[in-house]
This record gives sequence, structure tokens and C-alpha cells, in this order.
Amino acid sequence: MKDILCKILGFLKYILLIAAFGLVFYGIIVTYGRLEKPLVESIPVFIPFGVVFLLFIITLIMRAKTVSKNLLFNFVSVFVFVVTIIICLRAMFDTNMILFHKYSINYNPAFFSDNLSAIEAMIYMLGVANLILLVCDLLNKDNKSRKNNSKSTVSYNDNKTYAKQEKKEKNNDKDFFEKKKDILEDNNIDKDTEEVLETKDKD
Amino acid sequence: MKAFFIDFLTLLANCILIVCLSLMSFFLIANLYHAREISYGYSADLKNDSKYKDYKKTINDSFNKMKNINYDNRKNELTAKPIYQYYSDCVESLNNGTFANFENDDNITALDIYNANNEILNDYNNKCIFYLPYSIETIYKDKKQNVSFNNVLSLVEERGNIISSNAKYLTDSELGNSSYTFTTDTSRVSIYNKIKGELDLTMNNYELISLILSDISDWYVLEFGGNN
Repeated sequence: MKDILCKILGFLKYILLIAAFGLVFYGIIVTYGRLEKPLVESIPVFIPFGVVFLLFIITLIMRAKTVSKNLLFNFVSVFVFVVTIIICLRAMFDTNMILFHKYSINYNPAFFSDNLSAIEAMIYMLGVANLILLVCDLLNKDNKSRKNNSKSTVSYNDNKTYAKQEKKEKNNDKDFFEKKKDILEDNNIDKDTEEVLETKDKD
Repeated sequence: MKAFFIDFLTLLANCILIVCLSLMSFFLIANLYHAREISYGYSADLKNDSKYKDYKKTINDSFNKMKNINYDNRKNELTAKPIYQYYSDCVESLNNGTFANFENDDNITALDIYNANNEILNDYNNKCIFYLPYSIETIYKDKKQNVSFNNVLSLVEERGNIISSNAKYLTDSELGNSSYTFTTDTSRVSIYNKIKGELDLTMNNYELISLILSDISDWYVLEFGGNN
């Protein structure tokens, strides 16, 4: 269930990012057009979108499971973009706001610019969270690879010790058998002498 | 140590996400609430409102007074006729304006009040409040009627200034409905009361316009005759 949700939200966040970017771009064009300001000055507005888009692409390339399988991250991403879209649509269609009518451009640039800073801040926060999760993913991967390496070295050492122990045991066994043999041999000699002595006594 | 560092970073990322989620939830809820609040209207029955009825009556009565003058008379052709024309333009625009349609609306919204006051600033200033008396003054510049009109002019100017400043205040005040606030029950009541209060002020404004027209028509009838 969690995986399915993650996949759906993970897919939606790319579409919503593009939609939110498009609507913000439209708002900027209308606002800057009314003020007759050059669009080059609006570049800082699009930096957070660019950063988040770049981080999403890096996440895709790295196949970072810490990010892609994080339900909270996917949900918050979708939520941030949905709220951005709602704010942009209100600036476009909410005719109950007086400022919508004041500028006679069928758009409420004042409402849009009031909310724009908050939208930017939220997208920056999303980017920071994504970056931290990517770092976590990198550290996790590093840890896992180290663990795998350490597991393989332990087994090698184990084999070595086992071999040593076996050798030792074998050597011990060898010594034991040899000693036993000697004892038995000694015993046999003793037995032989005892038998000889016994027969002599009988005679 | 590394595991602790990873845990710490994950916790930090989750904290940032939760802050982001809570702020965005606030934005969403406040936006939806704000959108709902500003769509509400003040239910006013202006057909039975005495102030509104007085306004309509004053305008109609003063215009009817002016209709009974003989405009075919050559003496009136260059004086009374153009004044009548200006006056009828003013009354026509008032009758087709937003405020005249208030009686057909059950709910008066902030936008209606804004439009009604904005029309005063943009249309009626040019067609009625200042234009009408100054055009009369221009027509009678060197004639004796100008002396009699001077008394009316000072009164009309005074009323015109009050109307303009009131309309400016009301339009600026209505622009505040687009500002983003944390809406509570208190502000909800204030939105409702604001529309109610500003509708009353708007009616006062239009009443003053009707009084200006009444003053002018009284002077006109005195000068040119008619059904006084």
C-alpha cells in the first residue's frame, strides 16, 4: 500500500511541479507586463523551481530509495505544488477580490505577489529536505557497501581460523593417537613379560 | 557514529517537511476560508429602504421639473437646452449605474460597493458632480444668471468634495478585501459589518449627488420657468 502511494505521489509531483511552474510563469508575465519590467529581473523567482527540478532529476538518476520511498516527502511535495496551483488559480479566477478588477487585466497581481514569497520559501524548504535525504541515501549506501565488505572479510578470517583450528585439532588427534599407540605398545610389552613370568611360575 | 549522523539527518529532513506541511496547510485553509468569506454578501432589501427611496424620488422629481420648459424658444436654445442635455446625461448614467441596480440585488457584496463608489470617481465626477456646475458656469460666464448660480455653485462644490473624498475612502477600504489575513470569527463579523456600514456610506454619497441635482434643478426652474 505504502509503495503504491509512494509511486502515485512520486509520479504526480513531477506533473504538478511543471503545472505550478507554468502558472507562476504566467503570473510573472502578467505582473511584469503590467509594470513594464523586463522578465530578466524575475529570474530569482524561478531559482527554487530550478533547484527542486534538478534535485528531482538527481534523485531519479541515483535511484535514491531514501527519497523515492519516503511517503512524507512525496506527500509534502505534492501538497506544496497543489497549494501553489490553487493560489495561482485564485489570482486568475477569484473575481470576488476587488484587486482583480482594479487593474483591468483580469488577473490579481497583488494577491499573486503577496503569496509568491511564501511559495518560494516552501519550495526552497522542499529542496533542502530533498538534499538532506539524498545525503542520507549516500551515507546509507556507503554504510551498506562497507558492511558487505566487512562481512566478506569476516568469513575469510573465519575460514582461516577454522582451518587453523582443524589443523590444530588434527595435530592434537595425531599426537593423541601416537601417544595412545605408544601406551598400547608399552602395555603390550608389559603384557608379554607378565605372560612369560606367569608361565615360568607355573612350570 | 555514522548511524547516528544518518538518523539525525533523516530527523532533520522530516522536521523540515513537517514545518513545510503545516505552513502549506495553513495557507490552503486560510485561502479557502478567505475565498468563502469574501463571496458572502449583505442581504439588504433596498426597495423598502427609506434612504434609497428618497434618493430615487429626489432624482426623478428634480428631472421632471426640468422637462416642462419650452426648449423651442430661441432664447433657451443656447442656454437652457445644453444644460438640460448635460443634466439628462447625468441622470441617465445614474439610472444605468451599479447603485441603481442595488434594488434588484438581494445580496450586496464588497465588489458592488466598490463599483458604486468607483463609478462616482470615474463617471459621475465627469458627468454630474463637477462637470454639470462648471459647464453651467461656463455657459453663463458673462451673463446675469451667473450671479444667481454662484450661491448654488459654492454649495455644490462643498458637497462634491465630500462625495469625492468619501468615495475615495470607500474604494480604498474595499481593496482591503484582497489582502490576506488569518480569518477568525471576529474578522468574519467585521467583513459582514464592513459591507453593511459601507453600503450605508455609499447611500449617503448618492443621496448627496441627488441633492446636488436637486439644487441645480431648483435653480434652473427658477431661471427658466417650469413646473416648480
